[in-house]
Amino acid sequence: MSRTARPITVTVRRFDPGHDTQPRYERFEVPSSHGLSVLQVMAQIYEQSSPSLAFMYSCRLGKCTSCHVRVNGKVRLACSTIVDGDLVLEPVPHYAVIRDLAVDWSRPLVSRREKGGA
Amino acid sequence: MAWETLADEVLETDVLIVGSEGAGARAAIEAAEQGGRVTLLSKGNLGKTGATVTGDADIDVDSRSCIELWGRPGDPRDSVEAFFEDMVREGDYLNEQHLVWLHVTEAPARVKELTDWGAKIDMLTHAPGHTYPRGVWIPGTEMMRVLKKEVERRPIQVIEHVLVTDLLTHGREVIGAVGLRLTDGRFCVFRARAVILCTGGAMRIYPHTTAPQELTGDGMAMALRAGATLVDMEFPMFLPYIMIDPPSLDGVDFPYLLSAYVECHALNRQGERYMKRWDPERMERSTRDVNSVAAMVEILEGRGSPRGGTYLSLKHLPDNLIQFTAEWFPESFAHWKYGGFDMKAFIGDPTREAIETAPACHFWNGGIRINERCETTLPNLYAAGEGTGLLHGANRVSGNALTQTQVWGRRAGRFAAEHARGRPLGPIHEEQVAALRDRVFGPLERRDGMSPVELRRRVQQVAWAEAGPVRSGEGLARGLQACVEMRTQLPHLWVRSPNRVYNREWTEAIQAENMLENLEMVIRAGVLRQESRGSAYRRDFPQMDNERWLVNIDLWRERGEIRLAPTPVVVTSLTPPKGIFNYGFRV
Ligand SMILES: Cc1cc2nc3c(=O)[nH]c(=O)nc-3n(C[C@H](O)[C@H](O)[C@H](O)COP(=O)(O)OP(=O)(O)OC[C@H]3O[C@@H](n4cnc5c(N)ncnc54)[C@H](O)[C@@H]3O)c2cc1C
Ligand code: FES
Repeated sequence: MSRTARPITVTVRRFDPGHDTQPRYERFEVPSSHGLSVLQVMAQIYEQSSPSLAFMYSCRLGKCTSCHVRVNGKVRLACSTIVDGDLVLEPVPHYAVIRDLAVDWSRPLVSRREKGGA
Repeated sequence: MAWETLADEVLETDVLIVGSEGAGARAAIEAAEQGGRVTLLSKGNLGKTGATVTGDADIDVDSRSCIELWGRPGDPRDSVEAFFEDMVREGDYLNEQHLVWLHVTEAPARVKELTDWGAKIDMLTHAPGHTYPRGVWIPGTEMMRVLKKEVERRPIQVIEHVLVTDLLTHGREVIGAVGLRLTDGRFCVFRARAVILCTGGAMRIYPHTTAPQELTGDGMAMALRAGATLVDMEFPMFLPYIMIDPPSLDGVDFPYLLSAYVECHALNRQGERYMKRWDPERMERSTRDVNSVAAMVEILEGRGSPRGGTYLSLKHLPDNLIQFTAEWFPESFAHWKYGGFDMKAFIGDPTREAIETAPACHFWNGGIRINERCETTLPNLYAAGEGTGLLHGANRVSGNALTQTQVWGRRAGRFAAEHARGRPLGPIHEEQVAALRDRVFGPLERRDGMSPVELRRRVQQVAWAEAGPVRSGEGLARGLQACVEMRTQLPHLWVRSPNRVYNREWTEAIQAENMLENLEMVIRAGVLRQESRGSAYRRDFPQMDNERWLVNIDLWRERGEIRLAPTPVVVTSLTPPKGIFNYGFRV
């Protein structure tokens, strides 16, 4: 199997609504390997470089949908999305952010239209 | 009341249900029907956590009822009696038979409720182990969609992202639970008149598993610590041919399904089809226990693949035949897409390369001992679903776990609600709350120590090597020694980040103890059972011995020590055959 030598650069949006006023973007380098999923990248960052990284997942099988994140701007399931280059990871829009990439699926943000426009 | 100052939040309810999925949601619906306050807790989000939503998913009902209830093409020769017999025979006669009878007779009404609530059913499948087709096809996502809707229609308080850490007791009575709000780190005391544990299995003690990451056997460990009896803990169930490479896909059951539809060859690193030594006639089509055990022997004897599995190969087949597979394989398999995974991108070309696979833990046959009312051995404590023992015996048939959640979830909801009615709340003991709080916050407050990730890995390594599908007396003794050593590390677990909001390492620190507790139970029961049966194979006792071992092994903790007692199996109508049998050939 092909192995790319160059590590991939992962830029992660970090934000703790309780403490931070502004989100910040943190960069990590993760060794690249064959068949790497976005979830595996997040798990590696958590286990090896940033134990405080907050992210959510459950089944790893593409079924529960709790691992949705924004990957390079597009909403994707982290567990079934293959990595093919550098990554920018952000929480999905329209849900309350718990911290970093973890959002609360039971708290959708009310859209402007539903509020009657404000 | 001083204990209240120890809690960041106190909640009172009649029926407290821990675990929100197949069993928990069903219990909540029934308890709400009975009246009274019902609180449903989940480690994650309702419908997005636990095994139920991942179900592939057949839910068993006898074929005749399928015809009567939905007009489906079933087999009219089937009956609840035949279903009963299949469960007991496949369970190698360790099932408690009066529980099995309730199960098969209540299954039709429970699955009918799901369709009445709007669940769409697809085909009826005929899985191995069943004499007739019984698998009504309702994907886990569909089942949870319907159950969630029914929960939300009723006055049920749902609290998500709560990690329940322990039960509260007054003497032997269970009077509530304590837990951690994962989203903000608040410590909660839940007072309840009855508690139902629907927390699922402990598959995560193994490095390879099909189950979600949060299934760390918390409920079983809590029950053990509170003094309840558990049973059949030596029988975690494994599925063969689960992916282990790449690590991202560890646990994906794609090759297992592939092997059910196309003739695959299971190979060791010498290229040998090792199944010929186990079941020369059926080879890879043998039962899943035998396939798992055979693969594990290759792995343990050093004939495995680089990542510690065996190979599953299609290469003996012509390329165009393999390519065609990707077109006719049922459901989500077109063009090598499987459950959202683009398999070709992840694993390469299946016409050229074998897939590295291993047996993966898939289900927990044993668990908390319950009776027909879902009562545990502790007053006020109930349990249902996966993580309760006696129903499946030593091995479960396909599709029957989801049925279990519905039949037994409803029973638990009903009997717990009846029991809770008019009962006083139990008195909370300050020292107990203080001790449980310290256990939760200890890892966060320490300034140095051992990483929970490291301990989790060690538990998984020991579970795999010494307490997987293949065991030996020597290995189990080594495993036990390792458990004793790991236990000394628990007071040193240290969470590196002090952030209390959704701190994964903190959750892992709490789960690590539960994982260890479950591993120790598997090992201790495994040591005692000197034979091979169902999902547990002992190399030093390779036969199934119905003369000595038609027993369920009870397990409980007394003064810090785990005690074990073999108890004769409850037989009502199907008498187990006498004698000693070769492993893996159902009698
Ligand atoms: C991939 C896969 C496919 C399967 N396919 C099938 C199939 O086709 N047919 C079949 O019959 N069976 C199948 N099974 C088995 C079946 O899905 C499960 O046995 C069943 O769904 C278990 O339901 P449950 O409600 O008991 O537990 P789960 O669905 O596992 O739910 C457990 C709940 O407990 C919560 N919880 C756990 N610990 C805590 C805690 N400490 N505090 C708070 N909450 C907690 C979890 O968050 C979750 O809500 C499959 C299993 C897997 C893994
Ligand atoms: S973790 Fe469940 S869909 Fe990705």
